[in-house]
Amino acid sequence: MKDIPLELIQRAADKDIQAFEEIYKGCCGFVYSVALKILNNNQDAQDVTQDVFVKLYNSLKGFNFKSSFKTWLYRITANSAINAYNKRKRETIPRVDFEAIKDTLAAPEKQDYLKQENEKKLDSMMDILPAQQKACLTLREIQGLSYQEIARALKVNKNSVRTWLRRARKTLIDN
Amino acid sequence: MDCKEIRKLLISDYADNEIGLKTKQIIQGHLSNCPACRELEQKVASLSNKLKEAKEILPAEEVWQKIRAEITQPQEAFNLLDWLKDKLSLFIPPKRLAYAYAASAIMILFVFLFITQTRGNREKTVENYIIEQVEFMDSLDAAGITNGLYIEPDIFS
Ligand SMILES: [Zn+2]
Repeated sequence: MKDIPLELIQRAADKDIQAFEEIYKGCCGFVYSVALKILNNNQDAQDVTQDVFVKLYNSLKGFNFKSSFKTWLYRITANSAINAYNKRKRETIPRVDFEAIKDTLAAPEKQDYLKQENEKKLDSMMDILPAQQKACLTLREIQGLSYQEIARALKVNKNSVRTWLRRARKTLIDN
Repeated sequence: MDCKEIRKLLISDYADNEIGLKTKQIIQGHLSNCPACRELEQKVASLSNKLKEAKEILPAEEVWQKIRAEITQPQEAFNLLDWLKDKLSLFIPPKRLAYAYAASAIMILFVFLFITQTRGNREKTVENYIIEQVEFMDSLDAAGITNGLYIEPDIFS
């Protein structure tokens, strides 16, 4: 995720849509990718992305400039995705649309086939993990956050982060 | 440290670089003498590489269009809720106001459903609504959004 200049946040807080679009362009990849890893469904991940940015826009005025914008976005994103995941789990049996996910990627090339197959396998394995474990693993491995940063984003202590990462890796390695 | 302790660290602190230099050296010493733990270390590293290969994916173009449409909606029409909010916010701190809104929204819903629906239907709808509402408040809290601004319950939107 790109660094977002404070000046841009201030302009967006004053309802400057162009400034907000800049912020969106800088962070939507992060928000969507994290949501996609947790939900494993293109439409749900898009809904979460929309939800996160609408919330963001409506609450920029209250943003405390002393805290980090990134930490704040990590938190809204992880929570929205986990909530959506749990809600879906309660309402329906999990659905997976790998094809839709792959459609959003660039056109597949033949030499990428094996890599894509591996990715698919990993995605479906990750789908069996509880939402918190997926969130931890994604924030750690893909976004490179520290235990402290993940703990802040998920509002849990560092030991929970450590335990969830252990369980997630154990499941993925043993399967 | 025995293999069991080493393996625990290999799938957490060691893999994530959350470890002191001294412990790191102990683990590396162990790894050079223990093929089984070395195998686990390699598996963890390969998993990590596979996860990192997944590049950031951008959402479809239409997502921004939807967001833009939602945040630029004109709000000119007189809105009873906004009016009440303005009046009430003079007396009640914003955070508590959010909860007050949720509570009154739930009450209004109850009355409405009581008049319009049969018993079985009613319970299902109420249950879904309350779950959603509580979750919504939860997520706002978790996101720190309720600090310093007031929130419109989404029942009227
Ligand atoms: Zn060993």
